[in-house]
Amino acid sequence: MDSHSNPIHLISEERGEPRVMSNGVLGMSLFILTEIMLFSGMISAFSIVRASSAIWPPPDQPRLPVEETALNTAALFLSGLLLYWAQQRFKTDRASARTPLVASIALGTFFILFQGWEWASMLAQGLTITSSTLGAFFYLIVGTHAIHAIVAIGLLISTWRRLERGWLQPSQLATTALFWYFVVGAWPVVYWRVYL
Amino acid sequence: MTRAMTTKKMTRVQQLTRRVMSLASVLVAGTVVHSPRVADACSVCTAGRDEENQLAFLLSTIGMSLMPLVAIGTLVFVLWRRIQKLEVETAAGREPGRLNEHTPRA
Repeated sequence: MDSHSNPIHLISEERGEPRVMSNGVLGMSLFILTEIMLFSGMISAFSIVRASSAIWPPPDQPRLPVEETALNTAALFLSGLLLYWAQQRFKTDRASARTPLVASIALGTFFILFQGWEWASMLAQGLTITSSTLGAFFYLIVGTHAIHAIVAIGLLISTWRRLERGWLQPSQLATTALFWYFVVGAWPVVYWRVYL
Repeated sequence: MTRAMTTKKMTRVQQLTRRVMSLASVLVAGTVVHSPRVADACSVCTAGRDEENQLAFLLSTIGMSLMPLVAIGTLVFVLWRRIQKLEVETAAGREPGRLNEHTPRA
C-alpha cells in the first residue's frame, strides 16, 4: 500500500460527506467522554463516602430495591440490544428497522417509568435527598442517569419520526444509538456501586 | 593580645554556631522524616482512618486518572482503524463505501 501515490480523502469529493466518522458521531463521542468523567466523579465520591462510614447503609434508612431494579436493568439491556438490531436492519431495509426501534423506545420508557415508581416508593419510605448521604447520592447519581435516559428517549423518538418520514440518515441513527448505548452501558456501573 | 583573644573567642562562637546549626538541621530533617503521620490528618476528610477508606481513595484516584486516557485512547484507536480501512480500500482502487458501509433501500 502506497498512500503517497494514492492519497486517501477523508471527505468524499462527490458527496462532501466524512468517510471516517460522521460529524454527529464524533461530536457525540466527545460529549460522551465528558459524561463518563461526570459519572466517574460522582461514583468516586460516593465510593469514598461509603467506605468512610462505619455502618453502611445507614441503619435508619430504607433499603434500596435491588431485585426490582435488576428486572429494570434487564429491560434496559434488552432495549439496547433491540436498538442494535434496528441499526443492523436499517442497513439492509429501512422499513424493517421500525419494529425493533419502537420496541427499544418502549422498553426505555418502561425503564424511566419504573424508576419514577421506585423514587415515589423510596420517598414514601423516608429516603429523601436530605435524609442521609445515601439518599443524597442515590437521587444525585440515579437522577443524573435518568435525565440522560429521558433525553436519549427524546432523541430516539425524533429518530423514529425521521424514519417514518423517510428522512433518517445512517449517521443520524448512529449518533442517537451511540448516546443510548452510553445510557445502557453506564447503568450497570451505577447499579453495582449504588444498589449492591 | 586583646585582639588575639577576641579573635579566639569569635572562632569559638562561630564553631558553636555551626554545631547548633548542624544540630538544628538534623532535628528539622528528623521532624520532616517522621511527620507524614501528622500530615495525614486532613481536617475536611476522613482519609487515613482505616484501610477500606484508603483503598477507596487509591482506587478512585487510579480510576479517575486513567479514565480520560482510556476514553480518548479508544476514540483515537477507532479513528485510526477506520483510516487504515479507508487506506486499504483506496489502495485497492475501490470506491470507499459510505459510513456504515451500506446504502439503505428507501
